[in-house]
Amino acid sequence: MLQFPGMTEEDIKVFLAEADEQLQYLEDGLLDLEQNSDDPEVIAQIFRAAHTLKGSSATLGHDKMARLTHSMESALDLVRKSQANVTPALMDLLLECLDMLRILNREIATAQDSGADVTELDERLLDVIESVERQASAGGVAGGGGVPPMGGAPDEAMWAGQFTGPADVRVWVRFVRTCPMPSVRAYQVIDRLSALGTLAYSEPSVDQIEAGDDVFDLVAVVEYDGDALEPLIEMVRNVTDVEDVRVLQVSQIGSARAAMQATAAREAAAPAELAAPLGVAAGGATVSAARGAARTAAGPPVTAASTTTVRVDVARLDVLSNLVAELVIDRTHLAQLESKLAEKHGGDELVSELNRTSTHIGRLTTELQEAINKARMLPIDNVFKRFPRMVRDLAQKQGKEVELIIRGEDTELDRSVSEEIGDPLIHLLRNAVGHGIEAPEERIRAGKPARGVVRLSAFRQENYIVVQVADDGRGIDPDLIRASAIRKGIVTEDAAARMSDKDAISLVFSSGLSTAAQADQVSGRGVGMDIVRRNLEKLNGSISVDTAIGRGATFTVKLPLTLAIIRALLVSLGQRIYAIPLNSVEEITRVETSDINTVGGREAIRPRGEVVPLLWLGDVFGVRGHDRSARLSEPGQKVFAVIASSHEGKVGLAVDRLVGEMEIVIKSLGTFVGNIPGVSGVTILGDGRVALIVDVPSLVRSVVDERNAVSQC
Amino acid sequence: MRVEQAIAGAEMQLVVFELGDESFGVDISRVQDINRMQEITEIPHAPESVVGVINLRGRVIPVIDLRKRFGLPDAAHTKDTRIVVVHLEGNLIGVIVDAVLQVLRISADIVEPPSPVLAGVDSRYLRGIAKLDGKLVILLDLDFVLSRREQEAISEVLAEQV
Repeated sequence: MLQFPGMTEEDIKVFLAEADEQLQYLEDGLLDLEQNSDDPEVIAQIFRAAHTLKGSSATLGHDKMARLTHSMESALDLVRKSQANVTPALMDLLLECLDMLRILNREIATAQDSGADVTELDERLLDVIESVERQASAGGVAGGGGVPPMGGAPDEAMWAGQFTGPADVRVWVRFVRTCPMPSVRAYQVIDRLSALGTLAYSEPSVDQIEAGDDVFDLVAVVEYDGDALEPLIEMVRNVTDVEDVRVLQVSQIGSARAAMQATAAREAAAPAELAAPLGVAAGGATVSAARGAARTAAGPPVTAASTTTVRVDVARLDVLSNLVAELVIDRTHLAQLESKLAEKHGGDELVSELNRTSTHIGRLTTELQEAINKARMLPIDNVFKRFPRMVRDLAQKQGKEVELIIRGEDTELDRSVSEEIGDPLIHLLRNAVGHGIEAPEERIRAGKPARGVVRLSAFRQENYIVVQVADDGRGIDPDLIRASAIRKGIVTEDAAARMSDKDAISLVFSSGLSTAAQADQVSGRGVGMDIVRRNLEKLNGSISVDTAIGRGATFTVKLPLTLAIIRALLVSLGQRIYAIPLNSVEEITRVETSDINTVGGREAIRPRGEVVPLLWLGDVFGVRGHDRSARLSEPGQKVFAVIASSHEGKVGLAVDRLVGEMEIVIKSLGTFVGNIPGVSGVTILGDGRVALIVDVPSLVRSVVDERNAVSQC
Repeated sequence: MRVEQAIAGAEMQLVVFELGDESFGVDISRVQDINRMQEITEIPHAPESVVGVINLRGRVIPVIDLRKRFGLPDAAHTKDTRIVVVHLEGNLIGVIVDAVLQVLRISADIVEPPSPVLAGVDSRYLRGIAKLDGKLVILLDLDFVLSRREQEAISEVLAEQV
């Protein structure tokens, strides 16, 4: 259990949010750096990110992260000053450090020590720094503009060098144990600090010091508006009996007062240990080694956007969404009441007034709902941003050259979708790099550039978000798929021969093929594709593939913009209403009982000549009086059949009546009830009643399974 | 005042409801809401005592028939029938009872351990019995009533499907 004494849960949350952002800057920057090793902008971005992480992790009190980011910053500083080159070895080392930082970040998020040790990475970084230093001195470049000495007391140069003032400064002072009047000395320190800037905080407090408490360690936070730290340190050191002074720039002026109070309190408890790694040792060494004091923009990046955005807990947004959903239901109810009243008391002035108000409320509710839905939207960049690194690593591991081109990363989608879309995309990207893109030699032989291209693009299409993963690799060969499918007994030789190329290719999504494909590198596109497709269908989405041999393959994933709201066809059995997701509805037919045939022991209908098995929804859900026997016992009875489909096939669902089409909010049945076969969720209708949502893929599967069972007998 | 309470021992506040001829009590902190009977949407293939789901101000919550759970005969719903909504492991669950009688403040001292034989109700469901003047209130172990048996029932259903 990791603890950050003095830090509130809120402080840690703020830290984590910031750290995520900085880690991402770091990663983006490093990957960029690999491509454009001399872009000073990129180097500056990476440097700033490492620097910001160092500051905030030190404030939080996570020593491992502070130590590692400190060394990274030192190494990057050499790159920044063109004293070190961006070598592949250095890139790998920095990326390893990044991975370690993510582990450390997780330590903080979970409050669990991972046992990860930064010593090894830290030493490798120091080696790099030292070797550069040696070269520099050997080449006689050292001197005034030389490399800051690392090792012994590296911090002084770091901090003094970067101080661009004005800023919040944390000052830690230790008095010698033999000091006869520590409180008087402490008071003198406070007094001098107050003369240099505004004292934001001190531990112990000025009151306690004045009261004469024994003070051997003093922590103070000063809003210091000077432009160098040296005068401040000098002034404090000149106070009698001061044994040691350490100074740390905390952040932009005034911004960290609250957080510092907590930190300061903690440090007062164990100052030497906690302040040491990042403090400025002022004991023996002076800070005159102020190299590059006028260096530019080393502070944490301040974004203009920060003033106009607020971080909101997702749970709060969920509460808002639920409240609005209730409001929508009540609005519908209100409209119903109003029309009933209008029937009863037609010309009444009160009724028309009610009508106006209810219409207005209706409009407001719709707008409110739209606004909240918008607030739940995130750019898909949140999902995409981890892919460049992943693709790079995959390609490197397999000795391939792959360029990932991302388009449409600002396309917005609901948070719930962005949580679900990541895994399928990882799968598709893995396949694209692993099986789609050929090895460089093979590509050259085929007359293509050695470097393959994987395009990841996102865009909106009506109420769907479409994400495509396209590669310019070898493509999928329908004949290889056919052969593999026959070998695995998925299709007969006959059926395979009759199958169109398109149908053959879509066999990559069938479950039997994946294992075969895994062993078979050439057609190896099917790895887990069936699971990808199934998961997407569960979310009312779909996946398709388009390919040409030698030219590559494009996988297209389509998902509803939000998983919470879908369009559905409402049908009824007597008084009971059921919702069928509209994306699975193919068509609706009215069938005479005489149209129902029996094919292979199961009832079927033939809309447009195609044989579609018929399922009676009343039987599926055990609704007495509305099941098959009840419906068929009435002569001349007509039946509505909703033809619904999943990738496995079609099924006709026999229902009493069609109610209409409507947008519904999907709700889960909850863990208490658990999974119910044939039901994918529930929704609340306009009149407040609860309706079941029909799980079409599972019903189709049940028919397919039954057929397979019969055919095997 | 505080001293008196300490002497009298811990206090409990119960929502007391009626089922058949018995009075049952559940801790008031577990009760979210008490609702009149409303339309319940049946859930096919659900465990037997799960009657269905209701819409509780925009939330869909499962409803349990306690009569079924206790093996009592079915009774027609009356104007007194209530759905008591309780917390259970982060979920809300509705429980159908014959009537809600009162909210009662009792001292923990008057609660006795359940006797093994008690009219019609499995003693494993019980936490104890509070003796009030001339009346017994049975303290229900909600977690046991709703959770464990329910889990068993669910796994039975799942086992049947497999």
